[in-house]
Order: sequence, then structure tokens, then C-alpha cells
Amino acid sequence: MQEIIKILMTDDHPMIIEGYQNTLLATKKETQELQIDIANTCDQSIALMRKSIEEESPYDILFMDISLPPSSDGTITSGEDLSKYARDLLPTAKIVILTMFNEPYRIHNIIKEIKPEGFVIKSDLTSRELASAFQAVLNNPPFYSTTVTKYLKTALESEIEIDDIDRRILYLLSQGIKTKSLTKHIGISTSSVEKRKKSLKEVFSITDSQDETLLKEARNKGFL
Amino acid sequence: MNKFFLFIITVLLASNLFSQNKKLDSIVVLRNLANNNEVEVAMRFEYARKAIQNSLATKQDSTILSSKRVLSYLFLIHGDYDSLFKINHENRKLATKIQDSFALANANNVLGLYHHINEKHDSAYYYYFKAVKLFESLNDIRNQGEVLANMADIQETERDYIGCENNAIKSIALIEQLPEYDYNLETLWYANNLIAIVSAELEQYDKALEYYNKTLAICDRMEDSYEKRLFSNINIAALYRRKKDYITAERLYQKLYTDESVYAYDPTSYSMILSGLANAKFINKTASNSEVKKLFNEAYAISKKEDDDFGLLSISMDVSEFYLETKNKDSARYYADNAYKISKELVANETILEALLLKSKLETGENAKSSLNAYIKLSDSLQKAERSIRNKFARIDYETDQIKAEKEQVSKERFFFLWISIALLVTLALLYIIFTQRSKNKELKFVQEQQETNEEIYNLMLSQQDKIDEARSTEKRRISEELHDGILGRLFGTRLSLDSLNMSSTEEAIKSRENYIDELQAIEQEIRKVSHELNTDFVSGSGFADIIKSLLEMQTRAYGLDYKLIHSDSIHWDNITNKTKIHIYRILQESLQNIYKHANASIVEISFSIKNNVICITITDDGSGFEVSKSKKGIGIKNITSRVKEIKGVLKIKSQINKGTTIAITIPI
Repeated sequence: MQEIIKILMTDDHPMIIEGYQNTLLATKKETQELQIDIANTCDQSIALMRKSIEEESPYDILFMDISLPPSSDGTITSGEDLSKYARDLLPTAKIVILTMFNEPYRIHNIIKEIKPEGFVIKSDLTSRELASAFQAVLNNPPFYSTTVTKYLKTALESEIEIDDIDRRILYLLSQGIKTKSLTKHIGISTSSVEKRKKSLKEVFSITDSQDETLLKEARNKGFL
Repeated sequence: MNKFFLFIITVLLASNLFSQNKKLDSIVVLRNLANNNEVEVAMRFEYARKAIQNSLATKQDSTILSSKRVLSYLFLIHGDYDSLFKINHENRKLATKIQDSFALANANNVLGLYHHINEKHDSAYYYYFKAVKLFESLNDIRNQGEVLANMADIQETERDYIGCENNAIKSIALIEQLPEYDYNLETLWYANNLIAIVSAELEQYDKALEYYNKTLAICDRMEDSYEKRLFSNINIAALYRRKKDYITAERLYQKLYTDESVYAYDPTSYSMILSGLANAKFINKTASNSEVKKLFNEAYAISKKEDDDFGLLSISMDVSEFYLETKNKDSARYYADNAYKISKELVANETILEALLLKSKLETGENAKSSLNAYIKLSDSLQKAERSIRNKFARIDYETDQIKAEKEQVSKERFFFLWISIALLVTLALLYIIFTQRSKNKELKFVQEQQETNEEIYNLMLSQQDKIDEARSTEKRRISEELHDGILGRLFGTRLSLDSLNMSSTEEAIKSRENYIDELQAIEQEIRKVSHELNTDFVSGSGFADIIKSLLEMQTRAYGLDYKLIHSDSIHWDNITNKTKIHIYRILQESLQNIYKHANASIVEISFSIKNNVICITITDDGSGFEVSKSKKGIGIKNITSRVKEIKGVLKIKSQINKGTTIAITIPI
């Protein structure tokens, strides 16, 4: 009995999709038959998802890139948004995130927001790993690639617990955003930003008042 | 070191003071010697002169004055009146100079005394009057009273009886306040005596008697009163005689006559008593003519012996009258002539009149007539003189008061003038302050405006810098994204595909792999492109040039001009100070404005170039031009000049009528 697996790959680089296709087709089991659809934009991806519901053959697995050009109506700006949308539309579909981003902050957010069945950092990826990821997601999710696993391990072992806003502050600071402009990005007052920074410095045992030292320590502890 | 100096200064000061003191000491000693009654008179003068000499050496007017006063006193008590007059004139000047009113009053008093003695009555009165006013202001009651008594004496002599009485009463009121020393009581006696005499002259005999009695009462208060009592008694007896109360007169004269001490004390008084007694006895017929004649003769002899002209005069008159009554005309005429002669010598006008009247009675015919005429003439002239002297005294009083009033007026005017001057000065000062303040404000305002425009330009430059920074970071982000999304993605895809093709060695796979290797080559190209983009700094150093360009665009559009900008890219504006850049900007602005206002040009050419680290800027227009040497510099040119100076540049202006103007500025970096 042939097992038919419906796959939707969303990535704005045709080269990458070709790579995925090549790898999956070369490493699939004999019993598996892959039906792969390709979307280069968010709009295409959404249209294909809808179509699969209309045809009453929803996708089993969604391969999602994170950095995608925004949808034409502007509601969906990245793979994260698209994944959330897909979760609502295709609750049974398993989502595999494949991304270039390897910053702990982004990893943290993606796991928290999407809880993907598969999470692979592209730089970790070899064809063998992709093949095992595919099988693992189908049969025994979740599958996380090396970087993600490492991050999770550090986060678990770390005694430091900071909330999302703190993480965001750290992230924005690391992007070179000035403290003064942080309010624009987060929507809290300058004084509370300062307060948070102060407590962050305590949490990371920073003695001097320089942001660089804080960022360095946060990077060491795997928060950036 | 300092201490040492202090010591020296102290020693110097002390020695200086010491020597000064020593000098003063010696002067004081000399003065005391001069004032000492026990010292020989000639020596006293010597000491006084020495004191003056030493005082002159100190050059202190007050010391000189004090010493001179000592000498003046010596002159006074030894009757050297000419020297007295001279030295007191000097003292008056000195006292006026150092404003020593006591010394001034004294000098005036002594000068009054001098003239009084010399019978220059109007001058004497003048100085006395001044002295009185000064003593009054000094509250010196004794001197004031004495001088007033002297004034009254003068007035009595000059028959200004009312004035005399006034001053005498004033004098009495003052002296009465003083302690009862003989000295003061004597003055009091004189004043009362004067009032009595004046009253008698005015035929107010009761009043005269009252005042004579007062003089007697004063004598009771005196310790040594013999002389004054004698005079009072003689005066009273004479008063009764004048009253024609000969009985009482005889009684009083008789009483005096019997006092034998009188002759011994004062023979002249005794002779007066004898003459008075003889006259009374003759009229009362209490003695025979021969007895009377004997008394008269005795009196005349005594007076002659004592060389008492006044006594001789009055006795001659009495004797002449006696002989007239006893029909001995020749003797009567002899004594009348005698009286006339003496009275003429003494200038005793009253007695001259009496003698003339007597002579007219004794003589007959033309002689009697001429005597009577002389009498009338003299009487008239005397009356006139009296009136004029009385006026003179009144005038001295009045004029002195007037001078005082004038002085007050002058000082008032001076005060007024002083205030006006002060007010004027204050006003001028205020005006000056206001003007300087205003110009200062103007300057400040100008500087502020300058500052503001400079700030504006600075901000402009800053915002330009911001724009550049923004562009830079945008470019950075673009390149990063290009690397991340484009190149990295493609590289990843290629790697993954090659990886999956790695295992198979089919013909198809080999062909596929070739495709991916081509792809790798394409990625290479891509990376080279990005690298190249990174290498070219697309915004480097263009900031200030852009600002200038936009300024030119804006201004020329507003002024309706065409412009041409030549900008050498070898000028690195980033390395040039903001100050210089701001000044260059303002100079350009100012020049464009000038061109618009005055040049009537259609095109402006602006060029920036750099040579040997000197920036050359030329601004050329094709306008009407002007004569550089002739034309008055406007604010625009002045501003440009000062700005060029500020950045240590050199400004050259070339212009030809109808051929345009070129402004060339060189600025060393």
C-alpha cells in the first residue's frame, strides 16, 4: 500500500526548494509517495493551502521558510505569521520550519509561538539530516536540528529566567538600537526600559553600566 | 622684610612728629615768655618776634596767627598803635583765610580801638560793628558787651544819642549776665554813665539822675570804687548845676570840697569841684565875690598846673561868665577868648559854641555881630555833621547787614548753581549710560542674530550628516539582506542539492551537478558584486558641497539668476572646521544677495578649488559692476570682509563697469 504524503514547500528561493525536492525524493522510503507543491510567496502558499482544503486533501507537512516577502495585503509579513495562519487553517498539518536565523532570541520565539513539529536551522542542514528530519516529523515529532537542541539545552540548564520583553530588549540592543528609541519598538516607557535594563544587568551579574558588557554576557549565556 | 620696613616707617614718622612737636613746643615757650609780665619789656617783644619767626617756618597759618596775636597784645598794652594797626590788618587776613572767627573778631576789635583812639570815629564804629557781630556768633558775651559800650561811647561823642543809648542798653544787658569782677563792673559803670550823659544832653534830667544813681550802686558792688564813685558824684553835682538846682549843686560840691582826699587823688577833679562850687556859691549868693574869685583862681591855677585843657576850658567859661555878671568886661573877654582858643584846639565844638555866644554878649558892634554869625554858622554845620554822622552809623549798621544779606544771596545762588550742575551732570551721565546701553544692546542683538544664522547653518550641516549616516546604514542593511537572503539562500540550496546528488553517479546526476557548479559560479559573481558595492563609499565627503549646491539652487531661483557651480572633488570638506564652513556659507549668501541687489546680473559662476592647502573661491557675475576704489563700502561688503578676516582669509574684489564683478577669496586650511 503506497502512502501518499502531501507536502507544501514555501520558500522564496527556487534553488532551495529544488534542493529540498532533490533530497526528499532521493531519500524517501519505497512505500512513500510524495506530492510536493511549491510556493515562492506568502500569497501562493495561502492559495495552495486553501485549495487543498477545498479539494479535501489537506497537506500533511508544511515546509516553511521564515524570511519571506510580505503578502500582498500586508497582513502576513514572515514565515512566522504564515505558520500561525496555517495552524488555524490546517490543524492536522505538521509544520517544519527551515530558517537561516540562528539567534537564540529568534529560536526561542519560534518555538514559543509556533511549536513546530520540525525546526531546522539551514546551516545545520545536510541532505541526510533533512531526510531523517522528514521521517522523524512524520512518525515521531518533534525534530530539532543541532543548533536548536543546543539552545534548548542551554535555556533549560540556565538559572536565568527572563521574560519576552527582556529578551526583546536584549535583541534590539544587539541590533544597535539606542535605548532612547527602544520605546518606539516595544511600547513601554523609557523609565521602565531603564528599570528592565537595570534588572537584566543584575540577572546577568554585570557590574559596569555598559550595554556592550550586558550583550556580551547575554550572548555567552545563550540569550542572543 | 615687611616688618623691617614698618619699623623704619614708624621711626621716620615718630622723628618727624617729634621734631614738629619740638618746634611747636619752642613756639609755645616763646609765647609764654612774651606774655609774662615779669619779663623785661624789650625781651618780651623779642620773644614775640622770635615766636612769629619760628611759626612762619612751620607754615601753619593758625600757629602764625596765634604768635602774631601775642605781639599785637604787646603793641596794645605798650601803646605802639601804628604797629598795632599794621599787625592787626595782617591778622585779619590770616583769620579770614583759616576762618578763625575769634581771631578775626579780636583783630576787628583792636582795629576799632586803634581808630577810636585816633578819633576816626566812623572807621572805629565800622570795625567795632564787625567785631560785635562776630562775638555775637561766637557767643562771647564779655567782649560783645565791651565793644558795644565802646560803640556807645563813640556815638555819644558824635551826639548820636539814640544810637548811643541803644548800644549802651544792649551792653548793660550782656554785662549783667557776667560775674561781678571789677573789670566787668567798670564796663557796666561806663555804659550806665553814658546813658546818664546822653539823657542829660537830651534834658531828661530825672532819667540822667536815675542812671547816675545806678552808677553809684555799681560802685557799691566794686571792690575798688574810689575813682568811679568820685566821678559819679562830680557828675551828679554837675547835673544839678545844669538843672539849675544850684542849692543842691552847692551842697553836693561842698560835700566833695570838704573831702580832702580828692585833691591828693586827682587834682583835676578837685579843680572841677572848686569851679563848680564857686559857680554855685556865686549864683546862690552864699559867698562874696572875692571869695568866689578866690575859688575860681585856685581852680584855674590847679588846672593850669596839671595842664588839664578840659579843666581850663570849663573853668575859663565859668570865670568869664562870673566876670560878665560882675561887670568886669575885660576879664570876661579875656577868659572867653581863652576858652574859645582852647576849645578850638581841642575841637570841642559844644564849648566853641558856648564861647562864641559868650563873646557875642561881651563885644559890641561888628565884633559881636561876627561872633554871633560864627556861632550860627558853626551851629548849623555842627547840626549837619551830627545828622550825617548819625546817618553814617545807621548806614554802617545797614550796609553790614546788607553785605550779609548779599552774601547769603550769593551763597544761595551758589547752592542753586551747584544743584543745577549736579542735576545736569547726572542727566548727562544717565544719557550717556542709556546711549551706550542701547548701542551695546544693538551689538548684542546683532551678535545673537549672527549666532542664530550660524546655528541654522550648523544644523543644516548636521542634518546633512544625518542623512548621510542614514543612507549609509540603509545601504549596509541592503547589503546584509542581499548576503543573507540572496547569496546565502542560493548557496544553501546549491549545497543541499549537491549533497543529495552526491550519492548517485548516474548520467542524469552528473549533468545536474554541472548545473549546480555553474550556479556556484553565479554566486561567486554575486559576491564579487556585493564586495564591490561595499568598497565604493557612495556618500563620502559630499555633505558640504551638497549644502552649497542646494543654497545656490534656492537663492538663484528666488533671485531669477542662472548659476554655474564648479566644485573640485579634491576638497575634503570633512577635514575643514565647521567655523570655516559656516563662514563660507554666509559669504556666499551675502554675495548672492549683493549681486541680486546691485549687480543686475543674469548669471553667477561660483568655483571652489584647492591649491597647496589653500581653498580658492571665486564668485563671478556678469552684472553692471562698480568702481572698487570709489564706491562706499556697504554692509554686505563689510560683512564679507569681516568674515574673511575671521577665518584668516584674503579677499580680492575686481570689478569693471558693465563687465561684472569677481570676488576672489583664498582661505588657508
